[in-house]
Amino acid sequence: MIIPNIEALSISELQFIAKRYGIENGDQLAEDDLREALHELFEEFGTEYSTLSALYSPSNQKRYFNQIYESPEDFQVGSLPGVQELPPFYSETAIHLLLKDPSWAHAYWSIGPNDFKKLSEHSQDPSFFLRVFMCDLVHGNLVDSFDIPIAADDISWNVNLPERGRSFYISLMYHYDDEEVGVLATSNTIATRKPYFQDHIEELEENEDDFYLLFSSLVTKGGVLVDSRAIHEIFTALERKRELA
Amino acid sequence: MNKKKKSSIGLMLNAHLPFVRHPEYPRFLEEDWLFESISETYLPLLRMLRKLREDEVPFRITISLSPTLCTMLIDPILQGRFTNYLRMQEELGKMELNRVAQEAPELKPVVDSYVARIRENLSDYFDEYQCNILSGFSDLEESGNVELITTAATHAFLPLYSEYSTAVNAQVELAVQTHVNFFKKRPKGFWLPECGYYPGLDEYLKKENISFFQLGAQALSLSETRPERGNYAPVITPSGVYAFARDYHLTNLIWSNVEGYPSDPVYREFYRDIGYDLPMEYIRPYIHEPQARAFTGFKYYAITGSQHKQYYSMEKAQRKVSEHASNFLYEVKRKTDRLRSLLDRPPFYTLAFDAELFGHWWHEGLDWLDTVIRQAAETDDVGFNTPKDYIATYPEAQELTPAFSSWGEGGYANVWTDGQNVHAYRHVHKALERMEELAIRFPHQNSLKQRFLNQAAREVILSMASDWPFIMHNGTSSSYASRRLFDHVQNFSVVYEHMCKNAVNTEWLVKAEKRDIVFPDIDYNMFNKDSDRNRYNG
Repeated sequence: MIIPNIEALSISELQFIAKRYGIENGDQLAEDDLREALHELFEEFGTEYSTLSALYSPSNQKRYFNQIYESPEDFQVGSLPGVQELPPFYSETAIHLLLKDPSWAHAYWSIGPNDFKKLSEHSQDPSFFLRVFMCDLVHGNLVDSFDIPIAADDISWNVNLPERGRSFYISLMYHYDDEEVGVLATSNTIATRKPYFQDHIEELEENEDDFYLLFSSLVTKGGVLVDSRAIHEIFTALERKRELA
Repeated sequence: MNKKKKSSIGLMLNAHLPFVRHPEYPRFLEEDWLFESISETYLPLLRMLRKLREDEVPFRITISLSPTLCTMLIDPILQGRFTNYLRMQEELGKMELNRVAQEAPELKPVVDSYVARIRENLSDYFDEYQCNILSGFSDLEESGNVELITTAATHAFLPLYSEYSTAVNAQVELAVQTHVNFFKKRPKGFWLPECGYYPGLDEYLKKENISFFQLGAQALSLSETRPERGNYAPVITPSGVYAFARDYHLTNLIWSNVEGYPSDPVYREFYRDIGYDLPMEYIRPYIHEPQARAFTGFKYYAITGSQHKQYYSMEKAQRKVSEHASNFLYEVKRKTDRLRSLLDRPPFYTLAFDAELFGHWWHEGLDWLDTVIRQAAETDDVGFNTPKDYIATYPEAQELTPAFSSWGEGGYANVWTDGQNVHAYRHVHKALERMEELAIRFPHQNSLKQRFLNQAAREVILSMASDWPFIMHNGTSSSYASRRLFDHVQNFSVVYEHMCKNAVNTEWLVKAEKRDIVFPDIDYNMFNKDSDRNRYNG
């Protein structure tokens, strides 16, 4: 969520937002009290990736924006005949993997009715888990794997990817207390690349000109780095090296 | 390209809006996105560029016009509604002249400037362009001042579709086809929506003879290969397409609401608008029914830097524009001086922005740009050139595969896969799988079934727009965005369910075709993985 520029808003805009977010007596509060109440409200929301550099991302600019908040009135986009609601998930057993960033992927899955039926025929209730396979990026050889327990009604999960320069896939699996284990579905494979400078920090340390050439376009005039965790990691490693030296 | 210049600025502007068109309503709030962009950015931008040309100021810039935006700009229904919008603005301008004369005479110059802009817009829109402003962009391309390029068909964030090759292919092919339909020539450049890149994406661009695209600032530095010239020269990808990474340093002198020029206290405050400030009984006819307050474009306050806003002074703002233009060129010169001994060629600074930043968001942005281009023309320090110019002059480039990246918060795909929007991909991906299935099961249909399947392809392409998850992420108009995204998937499902029974829902089809006028030449067979026919040769 993008936090509105509270300091810039007029009293009528502030009252409009206060009403929208259920602040009691918003229209009776003094302007400063109203600003404070909204600041507190938006602090509670927090953000998933809140860093100073995030403020510089074009995605943080409020494109498509012609009012402070959307109209509180319900509207209907013109529906066409024969259109039906979508199911929460589809009647198939499958798992998909999406790369969010080099450290996180999003997995979503569904278990079809036939598989559920087969699983329920067992004398015990099954437990479910995701098995994450980490492989060599070039040859595809298995390097490591780990399990994430999930509940029977889970349908998605954000998965941490422990290393860069690896490929990953996930199996949706079940097991019973009698140790029977099975695979329900296996995902597509995703790859994360290892940046050259992750293993060559010393090249940046040694030559100031090279450092300027390669990284001066990634820092604002005020000294804020481009919003990228991998770039921040390279800079942190470089600083640590310099401190040690 | 003038080789006397010590450096080049590659200015790339992306003019894009999602497809929003609701003839079923007399007025629709989200259609104002288009009207505000035309009146505050596109028409003033065209005026500025034509004046530069008239004054024989040398410049070349790159403008991406998205297929959805182009479609809306030439749609008679939206053209009619924009006419109403301009007339309404004209009427409000007259009201405001009377009101400020009584209540705040010091604001008269500001109201005069708004009224003058509305009159210029009316004159340009009707007399100069006969309601089709695309002709203005074509004219600037013909004179060699602008390079027009395209972007993905519905501005899809392509890394999230890397598993769906036919969908990525369709986004690129349809974009090129639409550009050819509007401008009668193939685009040489492709704006990657949200600077979203993943290794391999360039192959789809190569297939359509695209020569260049732009990247997020970190894309080369995070590559597996050491970038020899940093972001100051393009690289060539393994498929042979040139990639230009943004200069984050220079870009953020402009595009940062923390330390950028637009945040200066004397510039006009975007948020304070009479649509919110004036009593309902006065402003009601100019906002949306029944009482949805909205921006009107009449804004009288300066950013100021404190809660107690001061009135906007155009004189002070114009002085600051000149100061900021000089400062920008000073920063460019300083950087060029430092880079001279480190590079084997003049540096190329890629500055990529949403076009709507200039004029719409940053009120003085076009004045600033005009001043920078004029001042740059008077020195040998820097020139405004396009990536195409640069490639022609310096064809040699380092071969390198850029890293997965975007210009979004976090630098990857997090904006488009957060807790507010990630659930949508289950449905969009399923629709894409089913579209592929339909294309294989029912190849080369004709008549009604062909139209039915083409509409399915149209719906699934519209559901891929990056705009809907972006709006869901930022929380403004999110119920509209969510409704639109799922509406397209639901509509696709109508075709899928019927085709599984080998039937066509004619009533639905006629209404859907009438509503979604984009991509009239779409061919659903492009989703057939097995098809190897050569499509859209331009």
